[in-house]
Amino acid sequence: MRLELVINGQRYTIDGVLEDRRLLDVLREDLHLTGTKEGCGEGECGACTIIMNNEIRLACLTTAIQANNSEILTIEGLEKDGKLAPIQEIFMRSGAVQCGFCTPGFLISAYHYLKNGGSKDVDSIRHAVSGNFCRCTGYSKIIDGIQESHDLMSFEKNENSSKNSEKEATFIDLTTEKKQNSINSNKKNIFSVSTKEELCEFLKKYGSEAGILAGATDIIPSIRKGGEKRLYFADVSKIKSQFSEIVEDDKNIYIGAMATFKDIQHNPIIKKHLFELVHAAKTIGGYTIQAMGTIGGNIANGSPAADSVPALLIYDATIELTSLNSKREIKLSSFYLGYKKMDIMRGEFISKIVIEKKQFISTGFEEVGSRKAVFISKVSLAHSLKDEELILAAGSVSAFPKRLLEVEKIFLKQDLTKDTLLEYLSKDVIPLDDIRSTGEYRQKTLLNLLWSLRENLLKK
Amino acid sequence: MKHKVVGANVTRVDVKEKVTGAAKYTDDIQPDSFYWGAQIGSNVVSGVLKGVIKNPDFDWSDFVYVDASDIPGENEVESVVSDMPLLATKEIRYWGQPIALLAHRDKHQLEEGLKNIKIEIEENPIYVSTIDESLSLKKEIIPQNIFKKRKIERGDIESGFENAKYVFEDIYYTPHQEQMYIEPNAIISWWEGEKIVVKGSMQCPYYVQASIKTVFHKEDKDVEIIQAYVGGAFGGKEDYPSILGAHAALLAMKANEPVKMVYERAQDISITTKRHPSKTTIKMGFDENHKLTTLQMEFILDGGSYETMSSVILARGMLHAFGPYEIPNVKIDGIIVATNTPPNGAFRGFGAPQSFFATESHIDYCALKMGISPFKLREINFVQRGGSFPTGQLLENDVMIREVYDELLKRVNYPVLRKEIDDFNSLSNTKRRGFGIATFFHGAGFTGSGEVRLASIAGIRLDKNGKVAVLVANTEMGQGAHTVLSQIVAEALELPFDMIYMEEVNTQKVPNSGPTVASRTTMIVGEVLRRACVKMRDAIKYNSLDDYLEKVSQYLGDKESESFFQQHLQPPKIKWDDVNYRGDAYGTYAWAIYGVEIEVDLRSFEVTLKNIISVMDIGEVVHPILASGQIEGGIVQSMGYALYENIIFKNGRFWNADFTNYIIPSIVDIPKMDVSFLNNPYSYGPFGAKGIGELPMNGGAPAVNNAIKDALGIHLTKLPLSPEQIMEAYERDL
Ligand SMILES: Cc1cc2nc3c(=O)[nH]c(=O)nc-3n(C[C@H](O)[C@H](O)[C@H](O)COP(=O)(O)OP(=O)(O)OC[C@H]3O[C@@H](n4cnc5c(N)ncnc54)[C@H](O)[C@@H]3O)c2cc1C
Ligand code: FES
Ligand code: FES
Repeated sequence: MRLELVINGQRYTIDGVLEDRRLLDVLREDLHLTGTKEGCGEGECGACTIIMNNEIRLACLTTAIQANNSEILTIEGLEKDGKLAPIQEIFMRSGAVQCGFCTPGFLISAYHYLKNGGSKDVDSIRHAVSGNFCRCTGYSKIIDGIQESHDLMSFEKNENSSKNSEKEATFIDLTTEKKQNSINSNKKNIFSVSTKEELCEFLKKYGSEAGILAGATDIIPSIRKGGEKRLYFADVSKIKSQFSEIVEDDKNIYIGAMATFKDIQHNPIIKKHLFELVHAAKTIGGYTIQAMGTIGGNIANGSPAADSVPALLIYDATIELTSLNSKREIKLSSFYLGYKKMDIMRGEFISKIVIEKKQFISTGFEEVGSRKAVFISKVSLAHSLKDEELILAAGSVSAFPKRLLEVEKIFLKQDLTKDTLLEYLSKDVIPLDDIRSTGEYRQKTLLNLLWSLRENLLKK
Repeated sequence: MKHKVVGANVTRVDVKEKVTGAAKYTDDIQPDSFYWGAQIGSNVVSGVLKGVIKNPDFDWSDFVYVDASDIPGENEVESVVSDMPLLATKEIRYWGQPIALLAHRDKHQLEEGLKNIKIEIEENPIYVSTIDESLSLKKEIIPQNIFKKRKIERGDIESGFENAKYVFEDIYYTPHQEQMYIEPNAIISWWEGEKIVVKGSMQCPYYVQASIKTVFHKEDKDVEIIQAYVGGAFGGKEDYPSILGAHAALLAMKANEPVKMVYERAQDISITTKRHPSKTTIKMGFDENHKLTTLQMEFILDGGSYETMSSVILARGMLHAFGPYEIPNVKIDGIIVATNTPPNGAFRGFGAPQSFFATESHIDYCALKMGISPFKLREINFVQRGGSFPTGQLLENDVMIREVYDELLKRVNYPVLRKEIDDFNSLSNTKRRGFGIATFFHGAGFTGSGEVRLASIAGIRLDKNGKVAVLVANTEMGQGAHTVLSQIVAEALELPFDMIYMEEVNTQKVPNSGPTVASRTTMIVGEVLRRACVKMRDAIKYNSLDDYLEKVSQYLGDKESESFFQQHLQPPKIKWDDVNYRGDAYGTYAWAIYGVEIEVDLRSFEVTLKNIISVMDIGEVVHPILASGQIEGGIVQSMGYALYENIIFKNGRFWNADFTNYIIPSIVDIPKMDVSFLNNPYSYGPFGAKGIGELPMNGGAPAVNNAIKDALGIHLTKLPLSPEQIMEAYERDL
């Protein structure tokens, strides 16, 4: 394909790029912009963080086709007219840099945060760079450096816009370049779709061989690990804006399935009505993953640990599935049929999530993980209570996140004992051992979470 | 004494390149044409290699293939004990053990090539993965599965225990710990005629040189090793680059082009060196006044499948195992056992974090059992000035353990903190808080006579323009070594900091100032440099900057430059007996204490770090920001060791080989830290400085363990202190 990019104000045209070549390799190998680093290649470490179309992004999880026609800022672009950005100056003297391998990623995340009006509050700073790991500094001096930069960073309007890019483009031809690698040697075919119809036709044509490259945060790691069997993927960058709106009417809230977790956590409607979804959105991966990963992808990936699902179940969400000529709605609670098995038909995609507005007495979402950011939960529990109607939903304790229907029946009974609760819980879920924890720990923790939740609810 | 440059927060010498993205790490080096190299590793844990078969129908024309038969010299990895083959020929001892190498210009072709190679191994289904399995002799890798044994003895433990009023014994375990530098191992190599050049991410260029010399039967002059920017190392790039460098050089020999080898994260975690797992049986005897009279320990390290450098790690672990206490009767047995896992190697702390976990956890356990406060118990037993360690080492004025302890209690205002914690605990139904300390130390420099054997040489070169280059083989891997060494030279020469610069770390340009390990760079190499500076000042007698340039040009005349070298001089008082482990194990020690406040959720048993306070004596602080950065970084690694880090096995191989499942602390896990220093200058360190690099790793795990003990009254003996383990212990004790 022909890849057109504006990087750090410079326009590039690169011919003959493989669609599934990683943007990270385009930057580092084709353009020799080696400031952006690779520490894991799977979206976990943050060393490859860049800004693309004013959004924070991981270059290792971005394919060329997704990056096409975008405007990119890398570490090399922070310095302007021979002058370092204040945050670079401050990092130089604050001790925020040791080996320096994580530094470009941290600088880009922090720059993006401050540029978008991020505050000096330490917890907000931590959240903004939570997708970046550093093994040297112990983080303290990085936080100090970002805080100190806060007041010194002034941003001109339209900075980094295509203004400079009127300069002559650099042209690179890779058509004859033999040694061009992509995500891995298992070649995947990626097509860019421009309309909903194209997407549906694509899905219909390739059926179980087809996938949707939304945020790509599940797909690319899976391709790399060799676990992705599908061969055809639709890049939805061009139709994303149509399917990522979050709107409301008197009765319902409508969340476009391609909304990212970052969109969700900042959206005023969701903040007002669906607080637990905000909560879940903030715990998915680190901040970079939240800025890329979509809620539709999270639902469709079907992981037992998909964090948005318990939070949606307690609002009794409905999902809208769209195909070429029709639409249907189905309750999320009946969408999953088994491990990674869903009620989705050939040619369909998830277009929306619909949630009825309600007033609750209480809602909550709790997660237990191995650390406080970038973790896959060991157990999660969400609840909502409206009048007599209680919903409990749990993640990571069964083949898919699910409602605890048996427990719901007896949960608020006066004379319930912990033993009886366990008995009912065991009818709902039997957690298993895996790489992250044991079934026993999961069960006991879930029981404890339920028991303390019950005490709190009974007080209300 | 007031210093000018030493003690100042000068700008790091390497930092501008790092904040602009200009710094070239190994993978950033992109020659016009080069090969990607990969290793072909064993796909079983244990067995006998029968052969490697290349698919005859596959087109191999653009590939380069290397196996053991291509090795011109010795097929071995140079180490303390060179028992590991560079490429296996017969016996397979661990999953992923290198057997052959393959290279191609195209990464994907290389992957395809790898798929078309079949390794034939007669698998032995029995293997041992842990210390206990190894000791059970379920399978014997080497006779008795024992690589080495060592002993430290003082007094008479038998009568010690007989006369003790209280005796407590327990067994402590620690797991593998992965260094998890963000830059994986990476090397590039090429040949220039007969000369081999290796450039890469490494701590010890002269180790790599020694390795290559052995593998290729080459002389010094024909092996040029260059350090690239290093994206973190922590010991993990101390010995492994000797393997990777030789691999790349072998491929480059046949490719006639540069060969680059960059490990993917999963591979890096799966086969490179880690911190040794340990099993420590510890028994302490106290008299009626709670005086610790007797200590018996069996300290076992899992060396992995080859011994390599494990013996020096064992030594350091044992020589810190007795803690900062004066103990008359001591017996410490150290053992290294073999398992079917990749050879373990260096990681910040080098055996001491393992033994301190046992000793400093056990002190608190004994206090709990005797019904006295762990603070009081330490006060009674701290080694004093003029006291001695079990090796017989007399500790004169440089014992600072009581001072750091007093300072910590003052800083945390312990009585107030205690009340806060107790009040919180009595009010909360679902949470418990606790506070724990660990007191510890670290000996800087090589153990015993190691520094005498190393006989490091460092120097400076005076250039015509008056600038001075620092000539050392010590690498900058983030710790700030190049900045600190430049400061020491600037101070010693009384020149402005910006007149000093670092020569490239390249074995053809700098002398062998020893490896960048063992917290030795500032203290040992810094002092050698300081003395080299004295030589220069003796040669050129300038008074100040005013007459400096004039005197320099008089002195140099027509010469472009002049270098001044110095060899390490052992401080006169140090005496060490390598056979009986008696004497001065280290020239000096840095002393430290951590206080950690935690909160445990009684539903999930997750531990939240609330507060971390550290007080240390590291002698004169050369660069306060760099020093506190070293400590903070070390604290966070030690918190990872305490709470999360653990290698999980599946079928004898490492399973959790990624950031998602090998859990290092994230920025959200770490509270603000309070790091402070007491400066007790060391007379044989440059301007009074001691080594600090490893020290902060030693105390985190026991401090957290003691805080959990304080919060829940439970006694844990196994790292990591996971919620699963805490839950189990808490329910058991209920
Ligand atoms: C480092 C890291 C940490 C992570 N942490 C978490 C975590 O804490 N919690 C968590 O829940 N997840 C986590 N994830 C997983 C992932 O980020 C989320 O599942 C994310 O929401 C996936 O969305 P996506 O848009 O990136 O999906 P993609 O990778 O683009 O797609 C995922 C799957 O969904 C399908 N799909 C995508 N969109 C649609 C649609 N509209 N209709 C039908 N099918 C669709 C695709 O075909 C594919 O099968 C993590 C991932 C990484 C890399
Ligand atoms: S390389 Fe680690 S997140 Fe991209
Ligand atoms: S400075 Fe080394 S990883 Fe952050």
